[in-house]
Amino acid sequence: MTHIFPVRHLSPRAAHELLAFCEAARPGCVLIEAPGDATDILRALAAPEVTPPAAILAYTDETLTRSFTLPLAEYSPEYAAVRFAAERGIPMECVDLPFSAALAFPPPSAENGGPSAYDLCARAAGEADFDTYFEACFEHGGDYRAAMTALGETLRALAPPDEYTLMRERYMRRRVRAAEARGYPGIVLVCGAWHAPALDGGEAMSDMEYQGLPHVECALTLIPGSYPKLTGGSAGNRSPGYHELLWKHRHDRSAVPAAFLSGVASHLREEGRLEASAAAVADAVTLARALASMRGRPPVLEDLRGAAVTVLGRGRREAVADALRAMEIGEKTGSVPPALWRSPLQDDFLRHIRRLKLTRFLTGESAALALDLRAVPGSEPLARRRSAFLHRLRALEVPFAVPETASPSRELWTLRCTPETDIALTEAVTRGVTVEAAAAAALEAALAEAGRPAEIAGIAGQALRCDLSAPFAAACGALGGAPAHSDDFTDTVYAADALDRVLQTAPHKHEALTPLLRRLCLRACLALPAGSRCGDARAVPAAACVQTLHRLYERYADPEELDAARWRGALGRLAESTEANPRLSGLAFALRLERGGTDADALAEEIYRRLSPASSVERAAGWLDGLASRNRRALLETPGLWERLDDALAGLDEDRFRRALVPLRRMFAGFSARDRRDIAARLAARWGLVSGEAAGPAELSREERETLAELRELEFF
Amino acid sequence: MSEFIRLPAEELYRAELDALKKAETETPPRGWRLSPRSVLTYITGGQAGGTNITPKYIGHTRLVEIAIATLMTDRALLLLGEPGTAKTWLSEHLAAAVCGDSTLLVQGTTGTTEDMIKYGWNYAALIASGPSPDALVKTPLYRAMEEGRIARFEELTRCLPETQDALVSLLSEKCIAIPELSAELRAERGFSLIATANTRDRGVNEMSAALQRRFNIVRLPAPETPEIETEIVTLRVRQLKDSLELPGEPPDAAATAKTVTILRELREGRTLDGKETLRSSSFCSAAEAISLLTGAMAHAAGFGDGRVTDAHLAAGLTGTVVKDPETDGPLWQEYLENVVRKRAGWEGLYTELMKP
Repeated sequence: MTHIFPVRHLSPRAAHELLAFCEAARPGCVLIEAPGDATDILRALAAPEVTPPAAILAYTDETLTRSFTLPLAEYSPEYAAVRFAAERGIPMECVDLPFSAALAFPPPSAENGGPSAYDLCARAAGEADFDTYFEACFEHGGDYRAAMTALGETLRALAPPDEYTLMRERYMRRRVRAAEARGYPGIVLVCGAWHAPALDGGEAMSDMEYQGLPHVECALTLIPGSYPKLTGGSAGNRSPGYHELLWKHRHDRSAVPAAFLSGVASHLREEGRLEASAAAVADAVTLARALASMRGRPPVLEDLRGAAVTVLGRGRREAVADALRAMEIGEKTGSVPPALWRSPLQDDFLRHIRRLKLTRFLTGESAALALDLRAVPGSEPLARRRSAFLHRLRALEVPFAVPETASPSRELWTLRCTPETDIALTEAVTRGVTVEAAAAAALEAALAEAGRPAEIAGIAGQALRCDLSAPFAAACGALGGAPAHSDDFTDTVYAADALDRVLQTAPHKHEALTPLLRRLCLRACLALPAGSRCGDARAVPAAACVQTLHRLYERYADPEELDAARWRGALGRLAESTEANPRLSGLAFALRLERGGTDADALAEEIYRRLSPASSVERAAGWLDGLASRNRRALLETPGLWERLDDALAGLDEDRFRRALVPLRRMFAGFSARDRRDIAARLAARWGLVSGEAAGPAELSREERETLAELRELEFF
Repeated sequence: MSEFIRLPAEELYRAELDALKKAETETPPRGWRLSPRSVLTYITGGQAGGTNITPKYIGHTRLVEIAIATLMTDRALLLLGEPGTAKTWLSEHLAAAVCGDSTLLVQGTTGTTEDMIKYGWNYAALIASGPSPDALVKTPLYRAMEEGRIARFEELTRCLPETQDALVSLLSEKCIAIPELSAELRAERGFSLIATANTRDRGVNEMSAALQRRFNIVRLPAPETPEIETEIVTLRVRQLKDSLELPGEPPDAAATAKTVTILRELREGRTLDGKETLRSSSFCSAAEAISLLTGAMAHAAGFGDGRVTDAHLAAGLTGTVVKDPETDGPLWQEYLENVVRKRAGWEGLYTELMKP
């Protein structure tokens, strides 16, 4: 007698009801809808050393690795079935199409638009999505087995199964009949609700078809999973943490709202939000129940979320987002003893090592590797692929290769394989099962954490070196939307600089990156006025950024690429600005001078203006500093500059001249002795003096020497 | 047509409310006229018996559910949002549907005092015959508690914090103490309070923590999709044109689309097709789009040929978007360069906007 028990994968109530059913029915054998070659490994899952969440991974060992993952959690009905069978000592078998056959078929095509059968079911019941519908109707009460059978029939009617599914069902029927033939007192078949109506009778797979099933070499392993990973993929579960809570309270489900909301409040209190009090939790539970009563059913996750946002978050979803994520998903990671499994990442690593001809580096000795990255037309050079592989390992933080030097055409690496390499590869499998996938996941995680444009541009550069297009595109997209904050100007220039360096190393990415560079430079231009109004401490990095930005605009002088006119305008405004830090104004003026955007007359006027009594000595000194910081030689050579300056100084009265002395002295201090002699020579020529007389300081008289000695003692600068 | 400019919601929609009452299948909570599900139908639209119920609040059904559920609990409801997100509108209709009376309203201003919230005195009677129930002047809140109805409090955060705190013990004990008469008024079942507050002027941070705890806060966002927003804006602009009796034509679909798109993209921080992220600046609600287009209409009618052109739109756009030149100015410039300049059919608008 075969009892069919329909379940939904990763449903706590399914596991609970299944166990109750098995207790009552006392079967002699348990059959599970899982790939047939996974029987042994599923049995291993039931061992006490293994803690879920875990997943069964099947993968082919070819150039294009295909893999299937079967995730299992503490509350999976399959896990419950396996534990039951192990405890009672009764046989357990997996009866679905084996991985070795399934991997031979093409992957299922993506949903071609339109609602799925699940969505239609949910909408018919007036719920937003299938998860909410399922929880509302099945997780909290009612005759489980009958309701699930009805669900299966409805789903099948809404979306008739395709040929592949029908073939799987024929296979399953064959295996079930084979088990029946062995004469067990009772059999329980645990399968998805979708398949349940079909497996009760019907045609089993013929011998011919069975022999004709394709077969692909594949490896099977058990890997530890984590709740965040469980949320991805089509077989996954969007809120594993919540489902674990449902499982914990399976004997008293009415306690779930209070438990969940208390958990959320406790997270909020840890974040420092002490107003998430017990009274608030009680009010939230009341609201959740009121919300649910409007729809005539017990509270589900959607209601709890709404109550948490309204009561604990004061209407703001962002306020409780982290706490909700911690409760709904959670961080739980399973553990599988190393003896039981082999990380597919290690296999992938070795595969690449062989393909890239790097096997001599596995000895454990440290060795150098030089890579010549220049593009050879017509072929993809080995060096490029090696470089991408090594960069990917670095993104994963697997200690294997360290770059010593790097330039666009040549890289020098030091390679060393150590036990730490193995350990890191083993641990990294939670990110992905191939080096490529895991590195992409690592970069995307880093991107999520990065805030400032410079960090994001750095990640874009990394992604480019790893030759991973998805994280690269994500980083470029993120650069567009990085939030505005007070360090805008300097930060944006750092990001533009980083992007420029990336462009230097990868000129073939020109089209993709130049629009981004253009945006960043535009943003920097617009942020310059605000960024230039800073104190002296920040003026130094800001001045460096102005120089960097100027260099970028010079390099990409093609008007199609960067809008040079806008930069010239911004520089002009900065040069004339009285609010900006004078160092920056001076620098901007010097840049304009260089470009020929202004002449010696204007410069003299400006100097006169800056030395006026209205502005403080500090500001004057800062301005002259900025002016001279750019290129002293050029300043020296500017025709007529010193003459104009001389005129200007001659026109100052005694008082103003004294005040002007300090900034002038500071300006001259930056020039070398030789430059100073040159200046003196020009001025001497102007004044009609013999060059020697105007040169250095004359012999000091005795009193002057004494005064100087006193001043030196005071040591004030 | 009545001689009043605007009737209260329960009068305007009497037919719909009666139809909902007749088609009622569940028992309403005590003190309520309709069941929560019927209230939801009234607000979001649907059918009742054979009558078609027009939607009063479009989009965000879940938030309306939360608001209605709150009124069933012992916490009060606070509707929060930027100006122009239909808080007062929703508050009025909720009160009309739940208890049939949306006029029990206290308007909050800086001059609101405690005796406008709890109870006041008829001073002549007070002096003549001393404290007595006849000398008491009942506030709308008092009457709501007496009769078990919904009280409304508009612009709660514009009141001084000390005045707001008069509500704290009132809401937790559902009781007004009248020490002068050695009496107290206990609220009848069905009493609740719907307050509204503006996030722009003085935020909800001004409310004391104790008062915040008495409210469930529902933040009303901007319209969910561009289509809904365009529908709302077009409708309101046409209504305003009629009531202000402006000559000329209403703005065409292209002008409305441009305005709604620009304000929406800046608000959300990304282009409508989701391809580009932008840095979002000040929040411009649908109400600002409406007033921008109305202004453009007036401009065109007064100084143009009655048709709204890009020049008229540009005249109002910069002023609407750039509220704080320091922070909003650069972001607006970026938006113009990165998005407006490159869009097909928007060249005219870009040229007009770049004129100083």
